Amino acid sequence: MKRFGLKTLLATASVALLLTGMPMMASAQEPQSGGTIVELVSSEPPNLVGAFGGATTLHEISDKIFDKLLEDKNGEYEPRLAESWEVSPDGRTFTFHLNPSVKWHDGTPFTSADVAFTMTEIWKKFGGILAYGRITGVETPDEHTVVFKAENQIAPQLLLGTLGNLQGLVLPKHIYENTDYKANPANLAPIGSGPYKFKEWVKGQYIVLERNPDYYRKPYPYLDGIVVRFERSANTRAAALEAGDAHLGVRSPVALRDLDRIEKLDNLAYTAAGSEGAVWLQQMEVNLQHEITANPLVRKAIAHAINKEKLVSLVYAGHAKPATGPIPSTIPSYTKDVDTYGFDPAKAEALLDEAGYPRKSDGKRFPLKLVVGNWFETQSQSADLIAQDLADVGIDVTIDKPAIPAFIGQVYKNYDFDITLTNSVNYSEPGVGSLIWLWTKGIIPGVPWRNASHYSNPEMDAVIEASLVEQDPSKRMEQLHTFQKLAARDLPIIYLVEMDMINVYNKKLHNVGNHPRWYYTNWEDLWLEH
Amino acid sequence: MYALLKLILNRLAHAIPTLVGIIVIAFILLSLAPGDVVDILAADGSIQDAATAAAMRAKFGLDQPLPMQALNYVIGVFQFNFGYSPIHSLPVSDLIVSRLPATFLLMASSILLSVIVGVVIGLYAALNVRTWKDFLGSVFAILFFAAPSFWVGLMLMVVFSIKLELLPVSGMVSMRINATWFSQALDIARHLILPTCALGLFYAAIYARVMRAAVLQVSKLDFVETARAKGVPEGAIAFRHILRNAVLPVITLIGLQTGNVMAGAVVIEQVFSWPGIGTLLFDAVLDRNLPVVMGVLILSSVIVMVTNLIVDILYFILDPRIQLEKHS
Repeated sequence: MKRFGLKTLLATASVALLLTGMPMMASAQEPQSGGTIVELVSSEPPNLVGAFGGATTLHEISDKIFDKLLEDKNGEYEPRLAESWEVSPDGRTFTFHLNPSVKWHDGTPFTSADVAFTMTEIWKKFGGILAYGRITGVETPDEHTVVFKAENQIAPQLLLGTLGNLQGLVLPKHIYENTDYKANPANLAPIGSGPYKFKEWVKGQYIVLERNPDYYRKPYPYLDGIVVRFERSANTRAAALEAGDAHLGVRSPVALRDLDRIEKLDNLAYTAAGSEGAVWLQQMEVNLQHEITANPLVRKAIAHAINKEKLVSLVYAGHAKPATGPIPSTIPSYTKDVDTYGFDPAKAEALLDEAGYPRKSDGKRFPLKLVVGNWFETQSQSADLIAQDLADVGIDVTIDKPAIPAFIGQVYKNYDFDITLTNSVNYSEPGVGSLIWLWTKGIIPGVPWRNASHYSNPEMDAVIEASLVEQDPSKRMEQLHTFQKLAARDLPIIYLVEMDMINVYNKKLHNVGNHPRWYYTNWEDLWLEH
Repeated sequence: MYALLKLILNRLAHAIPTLVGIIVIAFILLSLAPGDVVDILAADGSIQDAATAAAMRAKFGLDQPLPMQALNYVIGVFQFNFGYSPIHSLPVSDLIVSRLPATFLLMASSILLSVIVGVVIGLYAALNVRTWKDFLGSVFAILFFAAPSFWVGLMLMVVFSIKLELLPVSGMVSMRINATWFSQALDIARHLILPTCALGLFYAAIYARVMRAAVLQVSKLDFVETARAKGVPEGAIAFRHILRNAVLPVITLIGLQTGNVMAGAVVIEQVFSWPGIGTLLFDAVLDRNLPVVMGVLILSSVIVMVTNLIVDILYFILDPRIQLEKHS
């Protein structure tokens, strides 16, 4: 604070304001340095290195310690470890000019060797990431330049959108080289280059991150430290926030029905901002290997029979909105110009009759097994509501709510379901997580969050594959629109709602939710009023 | 003394086959649950193709037939090797040892609280039988017996942490303390109060009921009348003659319920984020982390066995008649 002029700070604040559309009140104040905050998370991560892949909580913490070449702000790319970059016109060479002043937390200078090592040894080997799979060569002409080469073209958005997302965390070569990467002790006490340094991990209780004084992006970070506390019970999280024991919980840390009460408290506030570029969809995979559900008329009938508005109001207490397709409405490549399936039980019944499944003497048409991924309370509640909706049109639904490991095996390995209820996270760049669900190459038995429907359509495959290599942004946009149209037409997956991911925070905390993928970013500009 | 030693050896001889039985049955039951740890690792993106998944299963021994896996495990346990937790990348024994002190602290303080509160209320109620004091004791017992402990925990949190702001909501230590040994102990004690009450009051309710009934029964026995006839003061009768006899069923219960207290601790540790083996077990069950679940199960069995042994020894000391029966 004291080291920097008011002008810089105001400029920073107003840039933040412009980019995010935050409420005036919050950002109009001058940021203050210092203070340690307590963040509550629902589970303890197995390690702190997001570069190997891993669950949400792991990434939330890892992204504060490690840094990326660039930052994808919903299609806008900002420099980070790379000060600038060039893409060759043929889409086969990507050159990154690195910031020479960056140091790892142990003082070792950051160089192009680190990036090359991470690409060849980590990114390409772990995580099964589409963009990295297409990189065929890495060159380091000097210490601060790294070149990625690809024999086949890569769409620039695909590569930049992956590097700028949570798959882009760069690891230190000097720590990992010639070790068993996944057993490296640094996975539990990481050395990164981001705004916060790892300080301490008390197993079962909390992780302490402290300010990196040598962070290359001045004046960040503002906070002296972040304590990440593991708090498994939503009720306890609400109590800890309310009592002022903690400052922040992300991704809907409390029960949605508690939010009305929290809004009335003097010290707390909540916002749904900060997940526009990392949207959680609630979706229903339909098994195309089964005779009844292979019929498109049946799938359309199911889509018409489910009352999405009721899901939003009853299950999500209004903190969601109906979804139309595989790319959520806040993502730049979204189109609303697709087949939609409004709530229309009469039409659903007509479609089912047409499909050759009339109501029998007991009023039922056929049975379906609904397998629910039961990780959120809202999943189980939605299942009950959907079963009622489907019963109304004569579909006899049996709900199966296996434990999470059993769900994964049942749906993604044994394909033992008619319909499912699950979630997907969809990023600004659809190539990161949205395409694979509907691609023939996404049918990989035993690997979850892939094409469990067994949807295989050459037209769709051609569009997906074209979007991975397309150099012209406007043509690529068209391809992604076609992708959404085909998905909505064929309905191998029925998209239900886009869920709001709510951040609950102490009002003394500023800049909460000011990035489209906020909880996965490094919180360099988060500050505490004191 | 010889009899006591014989008792202890006898119990230990029984313990080993029991333990083997528990391990084998638990291992088979747990393995029957659908889904394994590799599925969980795959779910968070660590595994992306079928070949890696198969290699991982081979690495963790999950590809071997079940009886083989069980046998390997039992052999390992008797070499004090409880396996390896793939999720934590740590040996199971390290994990358990690191979590054990917190759970022992919570269990010990809860048992202590429940015994003191239960015995005092039960005794007091019985000595004032059919008065409003007795009635008040019954209300206490019914209330805390009926209320689920997690709910009691949340209510205590609302009253003492949010409304009165007296005690911390959860956790075991305040992180911002730069502490001396003494202030740290004090800090842990403050964090311990609410979980202890939430867990202990349920058992206090049971002990109060049992104690009251036992006191009423004992106080009608001949030796109490004799003492009274001899002119022993009422207070001395209560403590010397009644309490010592009436407390035996409570001690039996403590022994029987140690396992339950551990189970209760699993729930309470969740509510208060108490970093004990309860949270470890809960996470391990969700993650299908079989080695950790097994380790905690074996540990719990051993604890229950040891407690029962201690109860037997206490019986021996408190009630000389048991000793005589064994001799004859």
